[in-house]
Amino acid sequence: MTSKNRLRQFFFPSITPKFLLRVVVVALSAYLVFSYVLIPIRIQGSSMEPTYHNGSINFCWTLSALFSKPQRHGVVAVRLAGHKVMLLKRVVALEGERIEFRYGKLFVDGNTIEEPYVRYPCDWNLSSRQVEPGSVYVVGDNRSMPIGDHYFGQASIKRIVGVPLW
Amino acid sequence: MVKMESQGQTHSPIQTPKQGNFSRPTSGQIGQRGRTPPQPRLSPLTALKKHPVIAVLLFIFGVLAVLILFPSEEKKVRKQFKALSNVVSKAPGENVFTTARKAQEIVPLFDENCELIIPADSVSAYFSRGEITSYVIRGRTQFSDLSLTFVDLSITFPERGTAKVVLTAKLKGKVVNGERMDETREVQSTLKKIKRKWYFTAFEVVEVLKK
Repeated sequence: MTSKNRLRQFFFPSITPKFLLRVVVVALSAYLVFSYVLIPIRIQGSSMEPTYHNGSINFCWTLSALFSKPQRHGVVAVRLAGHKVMLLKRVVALEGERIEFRYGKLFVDGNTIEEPYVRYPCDWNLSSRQVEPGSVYVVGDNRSMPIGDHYFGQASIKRIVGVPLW
Repeated sequence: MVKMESQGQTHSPIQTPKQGNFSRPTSGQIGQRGRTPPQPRLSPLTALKKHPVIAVLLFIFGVLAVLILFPSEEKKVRKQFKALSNVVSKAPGENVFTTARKAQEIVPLFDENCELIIPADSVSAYFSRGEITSYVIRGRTQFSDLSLTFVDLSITFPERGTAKVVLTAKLKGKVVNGERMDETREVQSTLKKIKRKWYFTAFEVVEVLKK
């Protein structure tokens, strides 16, 4: 087969049963992968600035949530009612730990936790509280806004869908 | 040199009246020349078997007609959320007539009393239709544009005439003073069916992240 014919065959394939089967397999695989394994996400909002910018595109890698437990400093996607809207937050404390903010500094079980990903000034104060069993404490990286305006807190591990791919 | 020989007869010999093979047409045959013989009438089932494409198209149209004319209960519940989204949302520069029409459309969506629970703000109270309408109207005036959308609706019917819906509600808008608002919450809603119509009876904001 000449290269011209190959090119023609690639762009204008003859509709054979084998070709149709291939199309169905590719479409089905793409649907399964991009619906359940690598969910495409568009980041909206500035709660994870400067790590993740408003409007950027990423993928949610769901197998990570299936085969590993959330780790401190890891970024996770927390689902709401379904997979169409998720919250992108960073895990700062694990189940059973006590968390506290003092003048913007994070304390877990009374120890200061260094957070190199927090780049903007923060003056939050939050009294000490324990993370319930089966939950993790998640916060965004952008803590420049007043504490009341930032949506954070403890989320059930069952709600964690996956992690961003990059 | 290759000799070509015709094998067999390819043309029928031309007959002339002189050869005596022609016979005069009968009076019944006059006027019938060139017409196809009348075909026997096909039954609808046989006709569909003969034309499978038409059969498939008819089937699709039939299914669509049934779905449109007789919507499922789930579809009716979804329609109520769509209506609520429509009456709460506000386009920039909305005119007075649209505002008035939307205010009237809020009332028939809710039951006589509707419960609202917001655990984060320690709110748990019943509101009458009138109160809800006035709250929504007042709330809409605070925004120059507002959009309320519901996604990821999961509808269940725990008992006859009751629907429980878990969904994600997105409220996005621009306050009159220019401030932007963008809130996303998981909501659990209950609807009751009264006289063939679904009415909202409760809304509970689910605390996904507990401070």
